[in-house]
Amino acid sequence: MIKKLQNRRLQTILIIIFSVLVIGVITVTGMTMSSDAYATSFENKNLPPSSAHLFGTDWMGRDMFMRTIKGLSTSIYIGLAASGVTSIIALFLGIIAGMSGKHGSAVFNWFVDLFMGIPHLILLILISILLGKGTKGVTVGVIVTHWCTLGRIVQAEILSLKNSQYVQASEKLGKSKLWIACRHILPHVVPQFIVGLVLMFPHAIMHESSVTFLGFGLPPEQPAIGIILSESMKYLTTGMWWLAVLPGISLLLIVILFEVIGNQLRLLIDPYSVQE
Amino acid sequence: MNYNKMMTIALMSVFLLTGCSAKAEAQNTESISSAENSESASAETNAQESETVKKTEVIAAVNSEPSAGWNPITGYGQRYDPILQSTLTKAYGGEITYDLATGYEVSEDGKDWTFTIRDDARYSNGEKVLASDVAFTYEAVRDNSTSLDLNNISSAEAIDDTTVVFHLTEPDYTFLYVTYKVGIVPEAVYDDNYGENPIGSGAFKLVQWEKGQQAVWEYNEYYYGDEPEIKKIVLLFMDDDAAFLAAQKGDVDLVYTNQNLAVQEIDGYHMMNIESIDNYGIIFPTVTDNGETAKDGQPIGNNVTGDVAVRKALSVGLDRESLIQNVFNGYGKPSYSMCDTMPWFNEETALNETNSGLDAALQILENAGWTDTDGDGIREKDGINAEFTLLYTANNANRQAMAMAVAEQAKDLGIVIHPEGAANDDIKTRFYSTPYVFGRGDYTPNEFYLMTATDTIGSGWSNTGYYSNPAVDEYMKKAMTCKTTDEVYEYYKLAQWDGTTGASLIGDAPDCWLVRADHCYFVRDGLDIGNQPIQPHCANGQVVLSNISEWKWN
Repeated sequence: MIKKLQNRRLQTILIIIFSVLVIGVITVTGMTMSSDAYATSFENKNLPPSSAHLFGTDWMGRDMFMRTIKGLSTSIYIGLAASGVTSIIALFLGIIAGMSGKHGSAVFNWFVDLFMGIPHLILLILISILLGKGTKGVTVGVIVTHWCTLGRIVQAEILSLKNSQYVQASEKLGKSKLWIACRHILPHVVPQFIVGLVLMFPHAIMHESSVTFLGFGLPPEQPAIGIILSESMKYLTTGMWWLAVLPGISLLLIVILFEVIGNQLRLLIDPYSVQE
Repeated sequence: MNYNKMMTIALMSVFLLTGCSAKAEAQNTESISSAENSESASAETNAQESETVKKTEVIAAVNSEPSAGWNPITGYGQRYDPILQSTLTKAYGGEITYDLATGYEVSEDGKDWTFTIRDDARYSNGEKVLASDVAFTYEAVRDNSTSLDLNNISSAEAIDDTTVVFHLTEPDYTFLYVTYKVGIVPEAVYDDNYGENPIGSGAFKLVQWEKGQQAVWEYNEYYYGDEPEIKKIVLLFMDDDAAFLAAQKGDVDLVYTNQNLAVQEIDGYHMMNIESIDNYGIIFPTVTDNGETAKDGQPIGNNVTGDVAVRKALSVGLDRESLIQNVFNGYGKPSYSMCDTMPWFNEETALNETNSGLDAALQILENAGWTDTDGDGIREKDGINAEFTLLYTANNANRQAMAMAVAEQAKDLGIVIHPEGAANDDIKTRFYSTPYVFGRGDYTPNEFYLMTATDTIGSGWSNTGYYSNPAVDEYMKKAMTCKTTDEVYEYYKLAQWDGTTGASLIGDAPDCWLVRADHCYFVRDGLDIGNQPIQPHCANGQVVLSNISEWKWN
């Protein structure tokens, strides 16, 4: 039994399951939560954390724990949606760039450089403002800005595979390009892609929160972590630490969990480490 | 790979990830601390001085500076005494008294207003204040279309150095109410940079202005009025929380603060909460949506608030006392109109126990046919749900809390309100069709006129609800032609309610005023800020300086 627990593979799987479960529970709870749970109730304003209000309440008497959960789920939701779309863009562009030879690569690299040259946050803010802020602005902003790194990984992987001996051999043996792509290249790219995708979630979530924190993202009545944190700034001076600290730590935990999932997943499916 | 290595990677990635938001926060603290630096520097010099002589300097933290500069022609000082410039009259507290003017005469037809001005008034550069400067300033303000509408002045002319005549297009016996809003600038030196180098004839002159940080005012030795005990004012422009921290450190003498921070205590300071006519309320579109659009393409009308019953039910049914306690921490008074406490307020229109409350509101809705037939908690009429969006200025905590609290209370009426925060520029694109939380109030019946007259529809933030009632227009028109202020007041009272109709909450209820918020200041013990009268709407708190001549250190 002890031996079995020490098995790295099992450990990894257990860690992943645990992380996914925590994130899943938070997301589902947040999604299904009625707005009454974090409604204003002025009788209970400015309360420090207690058993009735785990994270305390704010200046309108809203339960901060419920708002935090709701906010996290909103962030996760936006993060998932944005990462999903952006990773498809990355995969698509990466494959085209990888397969299309010198000129295609050049154009792709030029685009990536263009996007990476501007700081993420600034580009995100600009896009968000352009689209009238709100959920739409933030989501599209994250989508447009986050494909570069993953796209480059996919491209690089494809380029190196294309020149590897067994692909060359396959070509010489007369296999069609499609056959090579499906049989030789895809199996190597997919794990990189999935890990990259998972590792993009925390990025997307942090950026959503940052943009909202700065006032260019979600509107203030929406329970989002960025909103909660920026509101709390106004009340730190009066010693209401719980408004910033607890939601902040929660956000950090979620981000760490995503990181853990991503890293563990890589250990599990990356061909280079899977046999360790 | 072992467990330790994994943890290291996880931690490292967390640090990398938090990098982005940490940068944003660092910027924030940076700007606060730089403001603190400059202010603590001035506090030190202040402390050194006070050891030897009696303190004559005040450091005041106010919210913001006039972004377009200290220039009356672009709007500075229209809501509070400009102090750097002098005005024909003063009205701090509501009563109009002479300042630069020494007297006035109105022609029989009410079209020609002749003012005589002091002959001993000088600008801070030593030049004499001339009647021609008055004429120049008024015409410039008129042509510059600030929020003060002077279009009724067809021309202003100086008869001699101390006499100026305003020729009005339409008779207006309420003209006196604009004369305290325009600071006089010297025509000889006026140019586009005036806002940064203002020369005025007020009690103080601007000696230094670091935009976004601080302004330093010093006593103008050419000032014609009584010499104030305070000779130097340092205005610090900081957010509420930064100002609060500065007070905790003891770096400032006076801090304009919000009602949330006002409940805190700071050693060495006392709280001054000053009554105001700074009304907080909801502005409604008063017409229904017929698919029409305004000249900039904004949609007009709202099918829910277009029904007077909904507006009235909210006006009557919302619990003002609980809003004062909850949103303003008790620092406020109930408000029923834009005119409360003013001599032209029609007291019949204030609510009392018999005509207010939930039951009265429900009765109004039932009578008008708003009923909840499908049991979902929302009333309907003709297939329309009693449901609307309520906009508020996103970075204004008071207006946000107000919107939230109103939405909470409206549930009991079967009206569903969705508060939505937006920037003021966004609100402007929607305010003809969407109700919004607003703050307004001044010592003039013009305020009521601007919010209710048919003429003012579509001009800026005035009468965005497209409210129009011929009877109300008629009364206000008559008010302009009255020769005594008592008659003016009488007609404004009738415009609010004449027994059958009016623009007050028992009439057409074009807007729903709820709370007059007290203006709260932390004042250092030992600083006497005089007898502060009721204050008008003023977003930055600078209005408190209006009676600076009474201030002194004990």
